[in-house]
Amino acid sequence: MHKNEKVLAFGLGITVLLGGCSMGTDNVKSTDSETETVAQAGGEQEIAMNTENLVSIQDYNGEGYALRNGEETDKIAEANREDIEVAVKKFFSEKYKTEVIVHNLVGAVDGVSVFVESVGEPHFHTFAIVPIDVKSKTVKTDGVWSQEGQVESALSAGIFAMAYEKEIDNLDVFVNQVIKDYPVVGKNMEAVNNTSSGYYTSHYFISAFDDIFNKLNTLYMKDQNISKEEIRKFLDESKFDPESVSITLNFFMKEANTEPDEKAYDEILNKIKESDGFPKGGYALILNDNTIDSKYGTNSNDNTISKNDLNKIVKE
Amino acid sequence: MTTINDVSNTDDKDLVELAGYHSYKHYERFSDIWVNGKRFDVIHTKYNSVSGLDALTVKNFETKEISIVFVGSEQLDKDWLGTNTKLIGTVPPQQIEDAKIYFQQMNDKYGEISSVSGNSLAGALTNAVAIDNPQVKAVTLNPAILPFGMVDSSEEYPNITNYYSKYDFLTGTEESLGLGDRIPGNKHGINNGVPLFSMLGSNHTGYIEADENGEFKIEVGVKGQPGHGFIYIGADDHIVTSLWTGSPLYGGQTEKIVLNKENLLLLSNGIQDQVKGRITNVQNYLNNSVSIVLDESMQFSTRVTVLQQTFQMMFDETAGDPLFNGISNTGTLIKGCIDHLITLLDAAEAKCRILNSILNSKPAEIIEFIASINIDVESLFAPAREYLNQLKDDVDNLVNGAQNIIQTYIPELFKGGKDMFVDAVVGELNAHYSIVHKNKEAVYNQLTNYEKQVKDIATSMFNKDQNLGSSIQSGISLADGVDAIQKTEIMNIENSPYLTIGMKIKELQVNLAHQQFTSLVTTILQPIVDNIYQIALFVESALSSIIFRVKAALNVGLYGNPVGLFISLFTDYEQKIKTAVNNAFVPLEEIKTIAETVRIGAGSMSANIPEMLQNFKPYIDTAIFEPGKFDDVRLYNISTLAILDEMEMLFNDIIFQLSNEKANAIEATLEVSKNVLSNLQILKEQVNRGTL
Repeated sequence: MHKNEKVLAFGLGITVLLGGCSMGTDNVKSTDSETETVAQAGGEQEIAMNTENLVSIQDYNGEGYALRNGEETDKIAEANREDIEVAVKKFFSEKYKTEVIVHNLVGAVDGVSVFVESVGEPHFHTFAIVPIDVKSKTVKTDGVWSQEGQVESALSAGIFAMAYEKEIDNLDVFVNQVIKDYPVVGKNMEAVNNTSSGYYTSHYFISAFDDIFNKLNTLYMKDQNISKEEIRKFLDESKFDPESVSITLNFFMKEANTEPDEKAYDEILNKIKESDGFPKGGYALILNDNTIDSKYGTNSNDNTISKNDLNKIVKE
Repeated sequence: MTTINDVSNTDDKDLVELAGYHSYKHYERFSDIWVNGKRFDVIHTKYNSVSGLDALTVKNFETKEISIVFVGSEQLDKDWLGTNTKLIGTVPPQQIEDAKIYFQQMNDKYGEISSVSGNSLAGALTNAVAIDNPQVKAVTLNPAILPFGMVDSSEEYPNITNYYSKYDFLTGTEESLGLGDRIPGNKHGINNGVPLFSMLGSNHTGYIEADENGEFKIEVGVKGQPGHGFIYIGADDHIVTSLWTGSPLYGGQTEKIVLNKENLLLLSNGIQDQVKGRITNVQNYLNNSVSIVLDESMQFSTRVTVLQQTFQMMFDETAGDPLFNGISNTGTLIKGCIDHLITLLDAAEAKCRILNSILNSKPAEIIEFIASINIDVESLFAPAREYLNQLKDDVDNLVNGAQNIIQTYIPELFKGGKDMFVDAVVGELNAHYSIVHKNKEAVYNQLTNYEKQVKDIATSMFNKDQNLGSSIQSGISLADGVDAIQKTEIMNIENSPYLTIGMKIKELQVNLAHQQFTSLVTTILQPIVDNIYQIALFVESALSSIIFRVKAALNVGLYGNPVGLFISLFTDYEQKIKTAVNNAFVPLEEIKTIAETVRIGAGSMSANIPEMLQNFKPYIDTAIFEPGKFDDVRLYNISTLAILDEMEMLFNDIIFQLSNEKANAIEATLEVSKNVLSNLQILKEQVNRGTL
């Protein structure tokens, strides 16, 4: 009996050991084979992606968005939030004749990007930059500026949306139908407020920039009471290149752990092609899975479907 | 004939700016960016891969060219060594493999990729991709090296261009470690960046945050003060390209172009855009240098006064006692104190006389019982009084010596330079800059005329051709008239005899001034201070002997003596002595204490003078030319030099293109071009003196 007990104990030990081992090998095998299948299937390799910052799009509110070397300036910016808000509001009211709400401060290497939303029309989101002297921990509130073309492009898009009010309504009706008909969603408005620049909604964004829109901006600067009809008349007469207005529809899968639905993508793309009454512009469609990279504020997964990167759907 | 540059093409400058600036911005897919007035659409992004590869694919909105921009490592100044050690090995890091995969993916997805670019680590990624894909144009800014074995040293890699910023630490280190052959393709130095430690990161990426006009500039000086301004450091602004072909002008000439009207107009416009833009910066930089120097010059008397006051304060403080406050000025406090000592001494002397008279007026009954005690007041007090008077004289000497140094010698410290300027460094810089200032104006005007001349020639050639054409057609003979052409003077700018030893002039002046000053203080003031110490010691010892003698009066020795006891009980003799002694004692103790204070003060002065002189040097440095401002002048000059260097390169190409042309007008332009070049070179040499 004694002998048997020993054998039994010994046997158990072996099983446990082997079990542990085999579990380990199984894991290794499965990952190996996955990479192999990927390599074989496409005949090419894939780039392994970090998944630690991926969050479900429904949970994403723009938090975690960060720029290079922004940790230190982030703190300084938060400590001077009030001064920054005042300076940025003043900057927009003086330079762009626009009242704004400040949504988010994101530290960058030499300053802080301040994300704002305009009040009323023209409606747009954008950001300005307030320089920070890290050495003296001071915020240079008299040095507020914006990146080349950034605010101009957003402002143009906002004015454009005013001129195409009816068409924008049509587009909104369209995207609302899309999210009803297909298992897709857009971004939270909170996330938009915190990270975006352009005429931005949950489901699409517009940016517009060329010489004609430059002139349009100047026109608006001269007279902020310019009517929608006048703007429309100006745009109709100037016959701008529709591709200079980018309208990007950006959807995410509603359910977690689902691949972007190619069938749905194709159908939506076709519907955009076939629909009438949209604003003039070049349309692109993106369908992501359910995730977004919170650090970068965007999804760059390989499975994202985007079929018309180079051939936008042009609406005249 | 080389094709004329299509301005909307994605060129080296755009790629450098995309790599050094925009790549770090985390753009979202389908956002658009503006680079040198051209629109680029971000059509694909790849962020946050396991290997660290970040990249974006952009499309030139006009030309539809597609470029891949790799993103450099996120913490350049901290991580580069880590990156470098990985790259130094033989196994290609995963990031390089991922970059190749990404290129392949994008190439498959979007068709032919026309260019790849990257900065730093991303420069290495770019080069790795370009080695495998010789059809793609690759441009890097301050690239990291590739792992061993990836670069074939027998290959030329003509598709790769690497730009090295002048003050970049990464490429500098790589080259000095002999690892330069791990960077394939052409290498060109560009003059962007500034030699400041704080700019280490931006010298490497080639960019800092852009300003409201999309310009990449650093602030110099303090707002509202003379010389406040900006230096433009954007790397792509410092890439010198041919006015005709747009290809970079480094190490070798461009292909010869045909000088027709279009090409002459390109020359004229190029002068307008590339040269005059640059020379405007030169103007601003030099104007800022000039105004800093002028301001220092206007501050001359303030600088002298501040130095005088500083010395006065520091010298007073060497004693470490408030008694010495103002010793280098009027010495009122210490002189008053010595006068007080003399008064006290007088009082003490009077008291001692009283004591003496008491001692000498012993009651008759006890004379025979006690020894006679006498205090020789005269002989005791004479030396003490003499020492105190001597002390007073020495303090006078010290005050005068210090005043002499302050009033006469400190202003002398500023003198020197080529023309024995009252204000050597500022004076010489000022003289130099008045010439440089004139010269830069002359060069600017010459360039303006030159530009107009080229334009006129182009128009005239065109008109002539038209006239000729129509006269052939119509049969009417050609009018002889020639269009008026702007004439550009051949002139040589003025030489400057100043600043021949460059900016070292200040260091020399400061060292010289400091040596002179040190020797003045140690030979004039220090001996007096030592003397004061000695005399104060004598005063103390003289006082000690007086006090000793006065104390001795208490030992009249009545106690233990029956008669004495009797007397003491019945007379007030002893009490009188005690009181007199005490009365004499008070002033004597006070004198001794104060004399001691004077001695200790003088002693610490003497000991502290060498250190004080050492500490005084930075003040001399500041007074001769404020270091921060002097550095700013140097910084502006370095940046000016960089631009003049670039213009020299440009004019060498212009001269090359204009030479061996048969037309007389072009021959004349060639002469002017050579003259412009020579003036640029003289100006460059003059500015260079301000950088050494």
